[in-house]
Amino acid sequence: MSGGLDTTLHAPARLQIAALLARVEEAEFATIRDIVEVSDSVLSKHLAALGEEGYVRLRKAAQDGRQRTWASLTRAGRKAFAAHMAALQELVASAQAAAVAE
Amino acid sequence: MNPNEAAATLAEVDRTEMKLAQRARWPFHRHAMFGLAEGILVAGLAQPTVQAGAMIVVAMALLIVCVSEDRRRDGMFVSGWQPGATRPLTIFITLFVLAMAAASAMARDGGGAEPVGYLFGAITFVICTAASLRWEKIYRSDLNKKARP
Repeated sequence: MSGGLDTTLHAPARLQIAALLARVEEAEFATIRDIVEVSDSVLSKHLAALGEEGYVRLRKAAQDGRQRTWASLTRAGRKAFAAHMAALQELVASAQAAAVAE
Repeated sequence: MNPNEAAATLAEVDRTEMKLAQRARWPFHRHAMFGLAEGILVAGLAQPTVQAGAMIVVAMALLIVCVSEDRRRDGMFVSGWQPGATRPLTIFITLFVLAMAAASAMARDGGGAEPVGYLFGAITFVICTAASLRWEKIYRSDLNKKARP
């Protein structure tokens, strides 16, 4: 992590996954895939990376006779996402302030 | 990361939230089921013990159905305690239900069924259903905001 920016969340798709999970309690794999617009394999890799970092909790549950994967953001994930977003907003705001000052 | 990249990343997050907003639509019966669960809970507290227990079980079962139906229908579950612009309304709903529950429990005289409990339950049903509908609108509009610098 540097200046609030989190290297795990640096990949745009991971940040989008975190942004989605920050606004829901839990989401199913297919729902995340449809909203973030990535392939199954790409989503699996990003979820695994977020899970390894302790940002996302994954669980399997049977539904309509099929095993489905559900993901939720952990407390650490919510904190990292909020800090990353604040750092991004600060970066943009300081650039805008510098442009106005010139 | 430079400011342009940061701005582009924030725009992507906005886009994700807007796509979530498009999916964040719940049918009217979902809101009514939530209102009914709260109404039954409130009405039950004024009734004789056995009836009250049965009504509380029905209310809890309805809430469980609400959550499991959300998951099945939408592939996601959005908690009412979601941080953001909806939080004040969630607090209002909670305090309102607690106040109605207290009023209903106080109306209980330990004897037979208490009609005023049903009145409190009916009021709770209407207010909670309306509040749930409003909650959905606030949630969606919060997701659609474009106020980031």
